[in-house]
Amino acid sequence: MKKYFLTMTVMALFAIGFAASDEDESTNGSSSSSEQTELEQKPSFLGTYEVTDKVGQTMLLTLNADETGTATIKGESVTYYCSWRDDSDIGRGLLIDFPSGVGERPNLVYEGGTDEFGTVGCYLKDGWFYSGSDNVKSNNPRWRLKATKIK
Amino acid sequence: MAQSYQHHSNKWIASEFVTGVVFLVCGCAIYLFSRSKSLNIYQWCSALGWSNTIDALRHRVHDWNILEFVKFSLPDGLYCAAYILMIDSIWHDDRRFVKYIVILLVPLVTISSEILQYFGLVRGTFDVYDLICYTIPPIIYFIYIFKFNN
Repeated sequence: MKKYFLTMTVMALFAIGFAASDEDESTNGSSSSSEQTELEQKPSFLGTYEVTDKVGQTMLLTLNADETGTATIKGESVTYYCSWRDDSDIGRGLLIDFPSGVGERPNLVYEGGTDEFGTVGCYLKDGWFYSGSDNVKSNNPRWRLKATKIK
Repeated sequence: MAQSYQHHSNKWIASEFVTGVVFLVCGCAIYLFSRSKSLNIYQWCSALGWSNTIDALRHRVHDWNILEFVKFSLPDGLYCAAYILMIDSIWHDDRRFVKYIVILLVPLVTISSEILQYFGLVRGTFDVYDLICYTIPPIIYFIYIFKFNN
């Protein structure tokens, strides 16, 4: 009898576990795919942003629905490629992920300096383009540039 | 070795059950710390007042470059393995066929769900790595059973 009771308890626990992996507003059992649906429901940040740095360089950053993006500096022919990820649930807005290394991302100049080696992540949050996860988390004005959505 | 399965000590059985619990906790931890907050598990933990602790830990793991496989598929395998270990430890002294039906219940439901996703009969996106993770624990379990009980 004890065995059946324990079995039913474990089964109930795993049934709850199956429900726990589901979305709050969805009936989908596959959480990875339902998270994709979540992103599809939040397309408002997709588009092109204009970011002007402290020395007058203007970057055009375009975010696409397939989680890719491109960046160019006005007046230059080089295109930089990136991906994006929604980290707004942990207070960091959108992570704009350029490959690490010199020349793999626009070398923007912030009040706090530059990240010429491309070692930290870039973030787009509340109309600002940040350099570094700690800076976006703390809304550090020395490491952010105004980002204006132009289309 | 041939008789080892039916004659496991209580310590072995307890270890098996605890291993199942550890697998389940690890799977839940991956969900809580690296997946979307919109998942029910996060909502439930928030309702229990654990959101501050969980958020602090989410921030800790935020910069870790966790493999997609670990985030999205490994919890499925841990979930399945945890169920098999826990049920097997509860039914350790039972060799009736019904034991294997009970043990296969969750793996079959999860594997069926994944296959039905492939055919579009269940909402969600089919992922072959999810299917592999659901399939491996019962395969390992039955290899173990056939090896040590026959």
